[in-house]
Amino acid sequence: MKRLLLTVLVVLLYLSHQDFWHWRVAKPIVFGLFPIGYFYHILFTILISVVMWVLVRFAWPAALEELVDQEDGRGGQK
Amino acid sequence: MIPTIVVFLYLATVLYIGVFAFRRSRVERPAEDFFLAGRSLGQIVFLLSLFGTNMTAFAILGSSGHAFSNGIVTFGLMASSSALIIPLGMLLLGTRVWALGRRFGFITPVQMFRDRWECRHIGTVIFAVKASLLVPYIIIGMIGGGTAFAAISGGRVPSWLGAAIVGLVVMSYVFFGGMRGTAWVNTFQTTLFLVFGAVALSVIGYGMGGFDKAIGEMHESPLLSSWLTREKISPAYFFSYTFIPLSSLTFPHITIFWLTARRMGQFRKTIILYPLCLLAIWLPATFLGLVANRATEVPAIARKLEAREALLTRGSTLTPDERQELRTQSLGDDVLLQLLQHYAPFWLAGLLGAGILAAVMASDSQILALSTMFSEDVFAFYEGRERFGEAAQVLTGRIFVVLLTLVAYVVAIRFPQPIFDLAVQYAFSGFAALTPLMVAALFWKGSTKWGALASTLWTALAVAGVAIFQVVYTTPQVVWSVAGVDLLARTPTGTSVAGFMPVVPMTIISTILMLLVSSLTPKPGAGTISRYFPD
Repeated sequence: MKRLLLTVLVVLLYLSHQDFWHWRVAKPIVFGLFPIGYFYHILFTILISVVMWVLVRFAWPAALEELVDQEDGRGGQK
Repeated sequence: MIPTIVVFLYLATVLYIGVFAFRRSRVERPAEDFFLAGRSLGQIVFLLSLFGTNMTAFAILGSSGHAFSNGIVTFGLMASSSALIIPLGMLLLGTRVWALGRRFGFITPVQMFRDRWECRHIGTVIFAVKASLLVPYIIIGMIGGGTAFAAISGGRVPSWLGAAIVGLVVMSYVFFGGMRGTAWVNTFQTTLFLVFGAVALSVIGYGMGGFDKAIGEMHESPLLSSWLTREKISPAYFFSYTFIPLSSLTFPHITIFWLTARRMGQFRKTIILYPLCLLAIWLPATFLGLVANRATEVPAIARKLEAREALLTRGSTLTPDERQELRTQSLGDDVLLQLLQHYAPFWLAGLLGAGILAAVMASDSQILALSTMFSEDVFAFYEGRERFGEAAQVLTGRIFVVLLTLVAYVVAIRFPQPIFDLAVQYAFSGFAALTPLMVAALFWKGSTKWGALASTLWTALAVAGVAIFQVVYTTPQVVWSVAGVDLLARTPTGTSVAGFMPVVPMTIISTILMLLVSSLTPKPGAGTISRYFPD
């Protein structure tokens, strides 16, 4: 269930990158500097960082990390 | 003169860092130490250096140039798509590659593929294709170095000499410092650019009388208002571009760099902070490229704008050669440097120029990666290490660094092309189409060496096909149309396949070939599978 929710989150994030609804409009120009299509992607980039935090927290390959630590403890399998 | 001196001081500093790294090298396991810094990089160096490795001439000069020509679309097209794909790839692929490198002692991706799919010469084919695709990327760094140096020095240092100086410095610290020197220099360079990006934005904004004024004027201008929307680029093209950052997951210099982390935990903060670092560099670069459209008091930029206007108003009456000349004149790869030259005080222009040069010099990682691959995947694999020893292997790697830099330099000064086009059309698309190899090796037990070979050969043929197509068809035209749908067309900047960039069909067909051919051919032995998929 957790894996499914995280997958849906990533798919939604990818889809929201394709913001065709802002395509041909410049206004509102946020802070007088950033047309809406630009500002959207600045916010989107910050949101990605938050989602990455969620993924690192809940989808970290901990088993793999433990395996490496165990093998390092035994002198590795090289 | 002062900016030139500041830049020379900067180059002397990075050279010193490389030499200092050489003094820190260890004698035991010399190959792993030279090529991977002994798998010992700490958190800060890992994050900043990995990020710096992706920040190239293309990222800085190419993106500001693209924003100058196309407007706000550049940020969503290149920056926010990379901010999503690259950290996600690091989480899914990077951590697994790191773990396999640690467990089985791999130094290059080809070593992993050879072991994973129980193959020998197919690995050599993968090496050859990856190496061929990486060379253009190295050339981009050379061209960018020359362009940056010429602009910073106000033309006192011609671009061929600038490229030679940058190439010599990069070659020297890679030669001496190996991965440790390269990572330290990249960390220094990334820090420099992160700091100076904000400074450049402030200084240029003040000089132009405020960015809100420039944006307001662009919005009122019938010619420039479209720069504040994305109507100059189609949604299909925008979607296509999300495939391009896949290349950052299969570039040898990135994959090899993943192996340098001391612990897997160092990926955590790197994955979370990567999008923010990207924002800190790409936002100033693209925004300055955008507002450069109102910097008409900068003579070099005014000439670009005049060429663009002539192209728009008189384009249909000109010959193809005249149109191409105007198109070249209107390109904006150097607008960032022109803005600095005009608006920043001399000493600051030098510092900021050094910051830009820092990003441009990211070709160091690619040169080192190619040298690593040659010495591991060819020299060591074909028994060079057994016959001549590990010290000879490291020496071979160092000699390769020198030869590669020389070849890249000669090509760079003979074939000057717009940084952006060269990067995207060949190296980036090709590496993106190789992503199925990495994914299949790590996640699909049923993948085989023949599937990998099919994907690799397809990628090589497709890249060559696009290159030949663009040589044959030099002017924009529809080449193949069915039922009103333009299936194949030459565009002003490249090739379009059913409205998409070639990278889309290249990657999809590469995936299909991996799936199809693997399902029809014998799998690796159970012993190999159980080593890679222990659960």
